[in-house]
Amino acid sequence: MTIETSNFMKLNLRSRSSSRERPLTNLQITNSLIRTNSCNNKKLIDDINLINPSTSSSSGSYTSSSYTESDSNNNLLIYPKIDSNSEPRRLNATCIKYGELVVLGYNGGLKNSNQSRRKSKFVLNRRDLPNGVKPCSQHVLQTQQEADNLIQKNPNHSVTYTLSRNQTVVVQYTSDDKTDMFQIGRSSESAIDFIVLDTRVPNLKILNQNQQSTISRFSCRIVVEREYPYTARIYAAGFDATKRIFLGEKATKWTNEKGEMDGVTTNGVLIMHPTNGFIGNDSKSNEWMEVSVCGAVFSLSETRLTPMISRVQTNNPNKNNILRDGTLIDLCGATLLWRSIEGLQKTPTKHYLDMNLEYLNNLRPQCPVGLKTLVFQTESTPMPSMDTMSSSSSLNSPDRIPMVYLKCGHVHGNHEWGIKKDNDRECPLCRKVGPYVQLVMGVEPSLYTDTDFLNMNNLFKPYAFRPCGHMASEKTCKYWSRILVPQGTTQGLNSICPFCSITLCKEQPYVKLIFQEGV
Amino acid sequence: MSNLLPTRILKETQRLMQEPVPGISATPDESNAKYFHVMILGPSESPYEGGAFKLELFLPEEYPMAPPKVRFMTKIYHPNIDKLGRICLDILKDKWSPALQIRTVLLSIQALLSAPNPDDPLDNQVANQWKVNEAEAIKTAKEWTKKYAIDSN
Repeated sequence: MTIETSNFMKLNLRSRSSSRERPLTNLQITNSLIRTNSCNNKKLIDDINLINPSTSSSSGSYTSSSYTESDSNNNLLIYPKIDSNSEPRRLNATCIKYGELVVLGYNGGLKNSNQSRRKSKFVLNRRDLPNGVKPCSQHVLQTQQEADNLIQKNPNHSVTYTLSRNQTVVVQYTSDDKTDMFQIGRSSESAIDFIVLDTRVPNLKILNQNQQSTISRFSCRIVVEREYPYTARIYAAGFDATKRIFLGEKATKWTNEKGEMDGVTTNGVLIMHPTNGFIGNDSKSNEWMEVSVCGAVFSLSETRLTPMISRVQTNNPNKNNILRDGTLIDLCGATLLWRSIEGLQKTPTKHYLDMNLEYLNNLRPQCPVGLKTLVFQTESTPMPSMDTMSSSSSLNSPDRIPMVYLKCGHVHGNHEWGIKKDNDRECPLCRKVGPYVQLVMGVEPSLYTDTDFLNMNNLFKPYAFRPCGHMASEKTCKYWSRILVPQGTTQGLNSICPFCSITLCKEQPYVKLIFQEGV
Repeated sequence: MSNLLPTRILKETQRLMQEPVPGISATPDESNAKYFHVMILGPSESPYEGGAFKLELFLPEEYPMAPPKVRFMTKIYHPNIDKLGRICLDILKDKWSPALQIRTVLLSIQALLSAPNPDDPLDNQVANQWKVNEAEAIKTAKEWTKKYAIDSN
């Protein structure tokens, strides 16, 4: 069977939902020629020629090594023999951790989740058997039916780009035993390793809460090299249960300079590599960029409100889809933090954070009004509850709950003095009027940027985020206050509390806590 | 009267007894733990030097959300203290804060003896005298101290 197509298309770049719509860009694909041969029920594909308007004759890059090999050797080199007859390959059974993905806004816990794949943190371990895939061949077909037939014959992973009613491009993928793949999305299908739902943002009220999710069901995939340094790359879109990715007519697509078809997904996958990394001292927010299905990285305009894909892929070597310690991944509705294994080795442990709380408790901080010792929740002391009106001497009584006056940082127990309008309170110690909230320890260690925890005497000076009262170290509070994260589809970039996702106060995003030691 | 005293009052009392403020003593009444017998010594280099002034201090039900009630029992010639011993001190009124304590209140009263403030008077007559003829006022204050606050108990 030979299909020859030769036409000229103008593609309208996708329209995105809500404010993330892009201006239309015209990309052209000309003179796409493909022949698909079928023999012995095995696909055999010959020359792919995708010719760009700019380059008169450039062949698709997939044809370079892998494609040619697969072509001449009936795919022998491409598809690892993992069938029931052959012995399963145990490449290295020892557990190797690549890194972690932490969803911002959960502080180490995810309530009401009974799904093991939906957690606030996902650990990427080396798989027993590699399951990575890589593109191997590109086909231009006239109808969806032809595309379906092609995929039926070779039920491996594939990406289908519907360009028009008359033209569909299918990129077939082949197994890659050098990589592991991890898929992320909203779908509960087994193809998704890590289920991520939209994060409730406390202060964005009804705006996003009851709306439809903006996270894609098959949002993105991360492919990690199985050998050190375990380079992890992120790609837009994930394969569904039928191992397919579809980019419909409306999706933004183009042919890159290598002649490969590429595109971006509806709400997009944005990444940001913070300047100076996650645990550096002068880290700060960097440019947010969009990742394509093939892993190309594109600049967005200044804010997310008017994103625009630039036609040329950035040549800056720092702008790529390789995840680094601290890279943020925004799925439009949830933001994920990538922590590499190197970074995690320098990050505080849960034990260290508990030690900090115990140390604070041992100082016996006192409420300057009730003169009672304040108690922070640790593993051994259950959290006092606001509702329990237990006896005044109980450790659980509300007046032992550490509260903070956010204007000044004075820490008190819970009491009713100095209530002003809008729930503001006057601090009994300095008379500054402002919000008064409960202090809650940030307990997700992977969100801490501190590195000097190895010395157990080096306990951190407690700070709290404003306006939520999540308590963390000075370094961690300062770091997150400098990092800008896209919020929802319309809220632009803001700094947020990593423990609850609330937008931080523009002025004074954090406050140093002042405790009154017991007398 | 057998109801449990709040931690706050217990702790304050304990500390007042264990670490008394120089020149000030405060002792809870045997029958009422919220009523304190107070003695403040006149600060040196003030017209009240050498005097021992008796006060009463009572903690209302709302304490510490409301200020304690304090009154001079010993007669004193002072522009901010009237004939009935009532004291004009902002922290005992609108500037009260529950972070203040019996100890800090008594320290403030002691400081008021060192620095009378005739511009915010409670006893106009005394205040007037203080403004018009300070030397005469101080002389009177010293006389009253000698008369009422020294060895009169």
